[in-house]
Amino acid sequence: MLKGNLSEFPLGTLIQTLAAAGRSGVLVVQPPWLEGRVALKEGGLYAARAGARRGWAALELLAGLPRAPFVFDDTIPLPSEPNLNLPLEAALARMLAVGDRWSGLVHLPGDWQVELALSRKSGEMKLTPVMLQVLGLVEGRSIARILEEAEAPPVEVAEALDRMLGEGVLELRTPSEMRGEELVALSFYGKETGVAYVDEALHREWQKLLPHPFGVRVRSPRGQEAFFQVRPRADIPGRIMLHDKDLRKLRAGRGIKLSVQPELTTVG
Amino acid sequence: MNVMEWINQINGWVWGFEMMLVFLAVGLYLTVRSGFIQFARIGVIFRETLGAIRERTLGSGGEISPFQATMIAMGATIGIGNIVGVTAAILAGGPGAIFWMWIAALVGMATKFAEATLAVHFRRQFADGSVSGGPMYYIARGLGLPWLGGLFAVFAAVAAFGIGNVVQVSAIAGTLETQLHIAPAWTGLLAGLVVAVVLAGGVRRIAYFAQTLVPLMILFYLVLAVAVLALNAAGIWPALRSIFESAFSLQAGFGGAVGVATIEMIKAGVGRGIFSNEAGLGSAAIAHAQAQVDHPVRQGFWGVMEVFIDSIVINTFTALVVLSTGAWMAGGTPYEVLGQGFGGIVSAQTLLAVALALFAFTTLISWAFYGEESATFLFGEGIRWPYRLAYVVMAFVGGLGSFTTLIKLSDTMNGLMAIPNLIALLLLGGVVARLTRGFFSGEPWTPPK
Repeated sequence: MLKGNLSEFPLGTLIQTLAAAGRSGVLVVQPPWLEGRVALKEGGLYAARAGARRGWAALELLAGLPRAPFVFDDTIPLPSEPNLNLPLEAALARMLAVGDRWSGLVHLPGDWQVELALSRKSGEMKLTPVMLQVLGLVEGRSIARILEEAEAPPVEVAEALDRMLGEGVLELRTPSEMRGEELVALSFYGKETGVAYVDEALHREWQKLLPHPFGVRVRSPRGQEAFFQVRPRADIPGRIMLHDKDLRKLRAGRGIKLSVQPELTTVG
Repeated sequence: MNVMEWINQINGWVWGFEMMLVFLAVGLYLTVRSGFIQFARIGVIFRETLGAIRERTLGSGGEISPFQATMIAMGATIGIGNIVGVTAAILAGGPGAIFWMWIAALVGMATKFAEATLAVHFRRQFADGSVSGGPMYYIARGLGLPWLGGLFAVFAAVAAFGIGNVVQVSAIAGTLETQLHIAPAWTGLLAGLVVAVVLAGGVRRIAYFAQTLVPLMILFYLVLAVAVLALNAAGIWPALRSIFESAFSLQAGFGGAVGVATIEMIKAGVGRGIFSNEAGLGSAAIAHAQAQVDHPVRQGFWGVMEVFIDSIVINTFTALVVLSTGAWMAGGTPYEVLGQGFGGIVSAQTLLAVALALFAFTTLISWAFYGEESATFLFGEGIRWPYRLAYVVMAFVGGLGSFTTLIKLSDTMNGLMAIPNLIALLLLGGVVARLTRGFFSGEPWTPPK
């Protein structure tokens, strides 16, 4: 049995290694939000599935996972019917090309459990047919489900999502159980503006609920608001530390209660 | 030479002019090491202290809020010296003494900043979340000289009984007897009872007591002073002018050469500027160490503010009352001059007596805490209750007798506290500089192991 993580062994390399050894068995890939299986028979690609996807589309979807634990188990019985009939070399070459397209995405988070929503921002953007298809699926669905359920090939769906996140047509939805906090402002000084510090314990709690990189939207009692990167700091329970200049921009000061809402960021 | 003569000799030395110069030199050194904090960061200091007064708690790692810690410290620093001592300085050195008092206070701000900062930085945190700190800890942990820290603690624990206890109770008893005809025995009994109730609650109750009474007491005195000044509004500008004119004029004392009176004026003013706010003695650092802050420098700001309120605000109001009413020109004892100065409004003398009693009473409570913390440093937690009991008994009997030897001895001990403290401040100036730079660079604070 072979175990590891795709962050260390990319899917293409892994399949190439198993194929070169002439192995038969099933490679099980398990990120928390879907299960993927790639079956090999005597070193050849035999079948693949990832959630609702089958065949090449499943392989394409699995190639987009930046990290996920995997197990290669040669005791699992192979599916009765094959759904991949590409020659190995051609399949690996295609996977390499698809891998390049996945790695070119900058706004799509690595955590596909995150739900998406249409943003309230106004603006103009030329929509492609894939984008239109995706927009019909977006509301209330996680990235994983959209990638599984859209008709277009997964990498094309991912590119459409990435583009629309970048343009602000779509936004990441903070989980409903994520509550905002009322935190008392504390000032810090130095060169680093645009950053908020919260207590380590609160940051940890937020991290559990938001595995994806997040920031905080801070609102002052006078109605000013701004978005900040957020970092943990020791010994400041009930507090949010903002640069003195940022506090002034919010028309707030030390000791003022600020409304703090964690929000997912699109750039990981 | 008998014991009393020894005490007198040491007393003259520790409270002498040469020692004042040492205080000033250390203050100037810390002013430089802290990057002229009291001038360059005055806006930040106001925002971080008075601007943040609405806050109650901040972070962990301490038992009470920065404001409460400062109120305990101010309970001790603001005492009868802010009224009687300032008047005495004017009588000894003339109006110009106030200018030199301001100068000394400005230097003292850096000293108090360093004390409060180091007190938090080197404090010890216990498993139950409580903390202990002050000069004895920064001397022991920062300099690696526990014996010198112990020496400071001995001086402070003994000084608390005299300067912090008997002197204050005597002042309260004397004032209440003269103005309100209350027998000293009753004053002693009441003082002992209230001290017992407050001390029994530990630092949290002391903090609650201080955060309530000290601001009220300051407000009460300032309202009283403003009322007197309103009646003598015409005298305010000449009073201010006399402070500046007299500060730079070469005066001749009675029968003395030109310049002798000037030196007396500087000595009187600088002496008040140094000793009124206790910057350099190290006592207030024991209270500042208790504050819940995320960075020691933040408490250092409160140290600066403490000196500002004590020496720049309260002392100046006292001086303006004494000068604008012309009460000082007739001469007499400080109490007589004050009686005349505050005599302009109905019952002002009675109200002044109440203010004096309040000032002395808060000093009594705060010094109990200083003494207890010092004794605990020396003998461990077990000493707390015996020390409190002894302090309460002393508060009760303090109003009944004169206790001249004890007062003299404790006065000397109070002065001697400065020696280990100033040595530590001088040698730990680099730590103050590093912490200050770190704070203004946004770096988090890492307590020493």
